[in-house]
Amino acid sequence: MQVTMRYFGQLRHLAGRDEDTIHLETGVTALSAIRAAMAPYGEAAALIVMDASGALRPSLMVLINDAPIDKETPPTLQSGDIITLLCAISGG
Amino acid sequence: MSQSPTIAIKISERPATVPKGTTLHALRAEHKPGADVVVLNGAPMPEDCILQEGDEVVFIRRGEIPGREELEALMASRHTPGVHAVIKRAVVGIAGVGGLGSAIAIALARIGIGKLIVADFDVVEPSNLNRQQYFIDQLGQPKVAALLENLSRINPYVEVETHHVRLDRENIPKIFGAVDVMVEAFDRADQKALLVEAFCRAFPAKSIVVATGLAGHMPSNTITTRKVGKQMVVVGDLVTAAQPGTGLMAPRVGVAAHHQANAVLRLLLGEDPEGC
Repeated sequence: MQVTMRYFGQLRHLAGRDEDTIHLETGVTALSAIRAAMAPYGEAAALIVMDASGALRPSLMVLINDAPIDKETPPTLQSGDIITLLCAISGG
Repeated sequence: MSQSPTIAIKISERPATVPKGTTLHALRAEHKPGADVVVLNGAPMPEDCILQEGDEVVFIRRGEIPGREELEALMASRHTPGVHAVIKRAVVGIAGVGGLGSAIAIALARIGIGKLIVADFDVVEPSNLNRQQYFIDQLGQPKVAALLENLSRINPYVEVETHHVRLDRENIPKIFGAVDVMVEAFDRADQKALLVEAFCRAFPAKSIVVATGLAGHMPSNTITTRKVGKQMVVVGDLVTAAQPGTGLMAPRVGVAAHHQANAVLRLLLGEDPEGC
């Protein structure tokens, strides 16, 4: 199946683009899709979204089809889904 | 019998008709005897004079707090009545009342927002005073208590519900269930994401205005307001974190805070917060 990854902030700078289209096996989770999407961009990109154990960082905001998801229970993706990634930055 | 000629003026922003030849001091004696300050057409006017058609007059007794209706009339005139009616019945939630949240709360209180629900666990510290809207004699106070005090000095008729509590996934939906628009104004990045997740899961039809990337002294115009997804409006440059060399300072934090406050206002008015 095919999904679209959209990037904001640091990820957009690192990727040098607004979005990617990636191909995945049917039934994968958002976490697997994010890992696959970050792979071409090296360790710096992976470190923005994941910690050393491979879990999604608490500061990462993930939207599927424009709706923020709860990272504690990442859903299974459907073909055509759009996953948006924005890593929150400290300061307030 | 002929009527004496009259002129149309405004007294405290309200239309009024007075006999032609009425003087400023005569009007003061009739409307607010003992007023210390007389403002005529936007400038203090110490001398007496004969009023002219279209003049706008405000009488002030120093130390006297205007009544709710008088203040509402003044604001409705500034905002236009239709806009002010929307503001007056709105409920806005603010999570975190540090550099962003305290400035957002003040901006919204100044325009007479109906109700603010604010939550923060922290107290005012000396290092906060470089950007947060507190005073040096408020050090050590819970921020929500200090903010309530400051807001009441700006507009005592704005309802403010305070929660001195650390927000988490469980209490976020309980505290902010009544809001029309939610504001994320935390400092920590993980807390920002947690609030978005908890609020959007509980209230999928409501909007949340988030800030990320506002530290340092980069150009003001690098702070933007953009929509991300159905519910989120994101303010900031999205990249600049608070760290050595790019500290959090009043000017740029204030730019971001007022982007957020204006996004709230536009959402309440049914307008596109991005506005491109």
